[in-house]
Amino acid sequence: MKQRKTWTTALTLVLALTCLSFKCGGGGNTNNPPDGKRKYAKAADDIAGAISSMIDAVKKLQQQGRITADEEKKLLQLLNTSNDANNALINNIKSTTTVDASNKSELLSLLSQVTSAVSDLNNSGVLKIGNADARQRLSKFISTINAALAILNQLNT
Amino acid sequence: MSSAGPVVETRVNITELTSEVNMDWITIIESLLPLVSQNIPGAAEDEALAEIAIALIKRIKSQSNMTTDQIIDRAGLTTAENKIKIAEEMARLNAGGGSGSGTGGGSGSGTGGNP
Repeated sequence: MKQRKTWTTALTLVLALTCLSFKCGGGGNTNNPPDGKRKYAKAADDIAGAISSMIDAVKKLQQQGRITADEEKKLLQLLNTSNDANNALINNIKSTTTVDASNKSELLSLLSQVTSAVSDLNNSGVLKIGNADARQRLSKFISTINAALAILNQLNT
Repeated sequence: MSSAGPVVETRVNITELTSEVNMDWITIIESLLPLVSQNIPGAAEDEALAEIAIALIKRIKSQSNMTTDQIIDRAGLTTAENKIKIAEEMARLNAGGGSGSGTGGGSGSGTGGNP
């Protein structure tokens, strides 16, 4: 089970770094525009990176016979939806100079679409996988995305 | 030669040391992966997955050396690359790269380009 330890350690590091990357960003207050925007940019980049990694992982797992082709297709469709939702959020962050009351509702609307897509990815994709080991591994990527979403959800406060 | 040699004063910056240790963690895991795969049956499969996780760690760490605009640009580029990767993998599966019946119908939404 040493390889499982290695895998768990690596993904735990991903989660820890995701959390730390936001802490290091400072700010956290939407009244501090540069830091606020940077924090959301980092979170959106983390989500994009985690989706990219998950696409690679899904491909490997199918090639290794740990998930079926049908399971992979379903996961890819759901990943595509999450990726589109995140792309819309990124475009909005890009065109935003300051996060304030004027654009907060639009950002929140886009954020809810990402959250919904990722929830669907987890419930209809990852949790439906027959192989428990593959399911557990892919759940770690969902955890990374959820850590980033938790930061973006600070917009709600 | 006196018995008491020159006194060397060593100052350790804890912050630097901690960050070096964190950096080494990733390097150590990365360098150990091939050894693990050689010595533990079935570990090669896990090495491939662990490498994916390490790439994600490096990506997240690299944000600290980037400006906000660079981070946003990279995020946009990655989502565009993700679309291509998904389309390619779907095509591979539909061409017989996997078993079972497909549930076709990819989404065809395009994303606007950058000005």
